[in-house]
Amino acid sequence: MSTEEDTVQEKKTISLKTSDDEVFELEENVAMEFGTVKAFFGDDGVPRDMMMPIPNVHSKELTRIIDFCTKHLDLKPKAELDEAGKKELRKFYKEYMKEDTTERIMELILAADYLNVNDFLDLLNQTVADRISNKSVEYVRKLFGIESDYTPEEEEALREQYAWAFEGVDEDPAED
Amino acid sequence: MEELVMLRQLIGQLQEYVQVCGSQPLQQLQFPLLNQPRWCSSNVDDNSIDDYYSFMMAAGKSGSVRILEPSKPPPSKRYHKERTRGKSSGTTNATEPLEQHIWKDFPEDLYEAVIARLPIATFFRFRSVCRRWNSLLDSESFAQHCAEIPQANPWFYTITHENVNSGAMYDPSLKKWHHPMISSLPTKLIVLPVASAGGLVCFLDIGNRNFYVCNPLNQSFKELPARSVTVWSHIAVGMTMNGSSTSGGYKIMWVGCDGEYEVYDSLRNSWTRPGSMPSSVKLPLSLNFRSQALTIDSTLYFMRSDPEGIVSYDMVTGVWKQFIIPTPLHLTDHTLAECGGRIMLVGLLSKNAATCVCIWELQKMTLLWKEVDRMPNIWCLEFYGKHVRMTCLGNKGLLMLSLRSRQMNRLVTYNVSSREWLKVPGCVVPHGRKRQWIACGTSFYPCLTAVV
Repeated sequence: MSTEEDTVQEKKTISLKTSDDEVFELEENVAMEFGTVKAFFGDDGVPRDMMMPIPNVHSKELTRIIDFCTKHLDLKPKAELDEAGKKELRKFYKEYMKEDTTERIMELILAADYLNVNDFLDLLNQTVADRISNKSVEYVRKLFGIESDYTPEEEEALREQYAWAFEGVDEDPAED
Repeated sequence: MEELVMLRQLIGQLQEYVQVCGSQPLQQLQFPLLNQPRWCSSNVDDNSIDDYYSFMMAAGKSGSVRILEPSKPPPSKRYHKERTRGKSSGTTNATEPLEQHIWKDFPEDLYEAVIARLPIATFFRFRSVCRRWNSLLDSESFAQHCAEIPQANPWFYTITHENVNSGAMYDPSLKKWHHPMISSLPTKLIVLPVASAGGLVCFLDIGNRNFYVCNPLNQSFKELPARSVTVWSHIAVGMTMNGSSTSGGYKIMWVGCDGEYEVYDSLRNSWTRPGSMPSSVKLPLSLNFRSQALTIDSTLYFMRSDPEGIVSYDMVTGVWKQFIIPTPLHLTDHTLAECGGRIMLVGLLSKNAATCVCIWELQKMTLLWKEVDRMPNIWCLEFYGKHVRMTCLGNKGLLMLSLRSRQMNRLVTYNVSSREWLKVPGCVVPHGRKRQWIACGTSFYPCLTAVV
């Protein structure tokens, strides 16, 4: 098809090709929520009907990111109108990541970071932070696979120094 | 002999402190000090002094606390060793350890965005996870992340009657009290928090002599150079930031009843006298010392009486202004507060035997106070027929009110924008059970990366 015919189409779409060779067609306003896509096409220059490869993103993650952006785009203007809209947006943020494992969230963080989807990234980062905020040091090491590079003495000194921060921590789940 | 001299000096300071801060019967205040004359020397019974010395020794330096330096360069962060790829677990259990392949790909700087969003106490706890997480306070990218997170509620740095040497900090989002040790604050003087800006708290010793500035979270600390006065009279203090963070510098201003004032500039580390009080401001300036100065943008607001009203000082232009505003009747223990640029007044309204906490907002067009809220009646009933005193700690959007009668000290927070009244859990030291009485304090926006 010629370019002229494309621009006559009603809805402008942007095509993205994922790492697993799937092609997604997104509405332009959703695609422009992706900072990387926005930068790629720029204000002019690169024609919008060109397919943009996103080799670092799997179709699984892209589907989810598109889902978030679509819903978010719908709720955000309502939130600016009135208190009910704000409440709905807050509820959306609270519920959206509830069912996902932390692992899934980390995968999404990688994808959202690559695509530069700031609103989603903020939510993902905050979700992880909330989940680990009351956990112990050992739990976090285990979760992220970090090995401590402190000597036992150094670690003891740190714990004493910040003793006030260690009160009221969740008990670690029982070892399997 | 030296101990006696110090003890006398301390008692003198303490008597002043009582006048300034509290209605606590004097015996209750003197008790901890008189019974421990060895307080000034190095072997004492008091637990908090023990803690202070024991972790001074652990830190290995005098006067400031540092993280122990590693004896060798920190190893590069190690991920889990290679393991066979397993299938990702399909369960929604959020506590599963992560798949190794996620791990290898996960860039370190993406953690910073998560860590910057942790509650302050959690951040300090996780500093022991590994050296990399410990060194985040020095990382510019981390500071950048922190700056991007919207400001949470302010915390409160308070001094308790029981232990005038160390602060008790209240975190209203977790409703928790923390008892950090700021080892660099002088222990032989009583210092009181008088102002804050950008995460830094300004302290003044009870004799009105020396100023100290510190960030209670990262122990960044400085004693300000001496002021150019010889008479140490009562002063009101205000603090502003030059820009949006303390890295752009800050200013501290003191003003006395005689109209004398000076401004400290952190960039030049010196005090200057920008000028003298204009004739529009009536002298003597009867300042309300119970009320902390408000900071709105670069302007400080102080409450005065005779005539009743507010005086303001613009730190940028150096201009003083006076506003005559009649104080509501039957009002005691009143202080100024602000929220989003609105100027509020908090005070106790007493009629017959009933006492209630009321909130007024300044109507800028008419320069009159208009009542906008009251503490719920059911809480006010507790004070019926009793002689109550109130101290307002903090004046930035979220206020902590310490209400004291002979037998009790009730703590309440009031959120000016949401008009929410919340009870504050009692302040108890670690391993203790007795509730501490809050004498005074200030609010500050916790900022992990602010330095003096």
